[in-house]
Amino acid sequence: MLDKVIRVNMSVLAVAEEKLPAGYGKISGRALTSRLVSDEVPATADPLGPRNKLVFACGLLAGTSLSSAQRLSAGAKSPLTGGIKESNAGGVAAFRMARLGLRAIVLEGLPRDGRSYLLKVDKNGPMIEPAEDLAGLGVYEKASRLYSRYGGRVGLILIGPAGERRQLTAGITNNDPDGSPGRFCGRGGLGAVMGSKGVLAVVLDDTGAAPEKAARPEDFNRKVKQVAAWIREIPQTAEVFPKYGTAAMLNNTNALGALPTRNFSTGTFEGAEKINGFAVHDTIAGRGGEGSTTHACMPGCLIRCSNIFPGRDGKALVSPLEYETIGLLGPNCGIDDLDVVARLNYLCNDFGVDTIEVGCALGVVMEAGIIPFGDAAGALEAVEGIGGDTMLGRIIASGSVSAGKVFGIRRVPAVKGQGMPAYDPRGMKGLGVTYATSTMGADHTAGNTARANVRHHLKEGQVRASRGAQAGATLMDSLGLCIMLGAGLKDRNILAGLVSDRFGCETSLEELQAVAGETLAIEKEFNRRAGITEAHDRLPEFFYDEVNPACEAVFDLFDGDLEA
Amino acid sequence: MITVSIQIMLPRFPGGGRNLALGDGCTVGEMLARLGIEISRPANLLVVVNGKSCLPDDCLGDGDKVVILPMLCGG
Repeated sequence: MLDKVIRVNMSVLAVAEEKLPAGYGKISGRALTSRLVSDEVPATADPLGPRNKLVFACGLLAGTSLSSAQRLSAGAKSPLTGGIKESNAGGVAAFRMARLGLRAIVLEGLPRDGRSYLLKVDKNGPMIEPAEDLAGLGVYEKASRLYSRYGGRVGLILIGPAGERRQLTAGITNNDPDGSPGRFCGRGGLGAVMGSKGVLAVVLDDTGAAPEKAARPEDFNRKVKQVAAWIREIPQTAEVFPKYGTAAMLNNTNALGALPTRNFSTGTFEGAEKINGFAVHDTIAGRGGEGSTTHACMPGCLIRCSNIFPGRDGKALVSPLEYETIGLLGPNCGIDDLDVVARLNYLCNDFGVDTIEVGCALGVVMEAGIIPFGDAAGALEAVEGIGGDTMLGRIIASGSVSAGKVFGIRRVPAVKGQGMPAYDPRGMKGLGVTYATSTMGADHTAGNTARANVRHHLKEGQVRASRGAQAGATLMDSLGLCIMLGAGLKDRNILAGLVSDRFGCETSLEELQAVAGETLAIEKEFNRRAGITEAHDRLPEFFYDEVNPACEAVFDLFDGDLEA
Repeated sequence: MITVSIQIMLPRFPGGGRNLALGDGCTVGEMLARLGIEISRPANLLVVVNGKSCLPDDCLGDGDKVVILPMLCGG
């Protein structure tokens, strides 16, 4: 069950469907993408060259009725960090993959003719088709044309024009159950890898597919119901996120002095009340129309932390509008207008770029004085320039580190080439440890310590909190589970039970945790071979020297502390 | 006696600010108990005092500004 891999060799335009390699066992999600990349991609490979491979994987519990189990993992060597990368998203693509019996899709080689293609997969197998007509189109137009061609039910994995141009902020998106293609595997420039392969889309049609049922269906369904009951009981998953979305986080980071403001120059934002979870909720509810304060980004999700943000005319402006996007494109740019942030978000989605990386790059551009902080019109024009391929648009689309080099700015909030998410590492030092030590570069999903029982502005306990969070995140990522579900799991042993009941085996939580631990070790070793070592496990110097006035702290965990 | 200003931003609790008189040496945990707010394990609350996160055993001082938020993660 769920043991097929599709391999697409773009050098010779050939596809093959095969069984997972022997010895891969019950690994999925991030564990599978990282293992395949580690086993098959030389660590020295050019990320945009023929030896890199782009792997899509679903989780072991994908395609079932379990809540929050349909994350799509994308993995490759990253052109942004130069190391191994996994970025995952909700949406329907992983669900459709699982129903087609696929645990992974691997894109290999480079097309010799420089033309554009798509991969179509249905119950009869995979096929490469020409896609010249999609070249250069925005993500939304690409999706619309593909729905016209293949029907509205298909799962779509897409890149935008930024990916086609192999730009470092390019992400890979997939569609949600309503057909909106806004669920991004955003980080690490993986869209550029897909663009380098000449693959603009993967179309997943599970019509007529006959997914295998769980080996022990009654036991499996009982556990699915138990998880659902926990989700409805825990305040975060039952009330806060369904009502306010992930934007609820903004009050917390603002209170802690950890909300990145004006290129990480302070940690509280005077306009926070205009853009926090309450404001998002009240704006959506007040405008009505196509807006929705709560929305499931993947089939069967009961947490429903996504939303549909409408414009003043009630028409959907973007979905979802999330905390990281609001934090980086809002306060980090001095912008306190949700309509502006939503429009910037839409543009980023349509061009196929990561809102976090673009928000960091835009903050750097503002620090350089090219656009004043708070200049909404200037920000919109600059981001429009990504699609229009202006010089400034190209610089922003190349990410925060590139923007810093072009404009001579040393205050660049990035680790291992990747811009920081919306947590200032001086106000939440555990996140700083994760940014510094993660195999992924600055990445909150690699190990978010926001729930850790620590005093966030002090150094004590942060290394331990980060290690625990990194292990926990890797466990969830490696099963294709949403990290939001983590807060709703009263007993994680149930994950092993679910895997065992689905596959008719006996798996323990310890075994699943061992897979997660091995995954982190594999990633670290790949990075070491790629030239990324402990010497890169540091934040930019200004975080150690410059006091964040909101939390009155510098980052003070040094090399020796991080190894402790 | 000390007086602290409190802002509660929790579901099921009325929002807005209020002042609360507490005994000298009162801890964060004791303040929460006075307010009828339960702390669960793993922690369900983020308590921020004068812009810094606190744990239940931390002592409060006169004039402290307290914000009580749901413990969240993710984004």
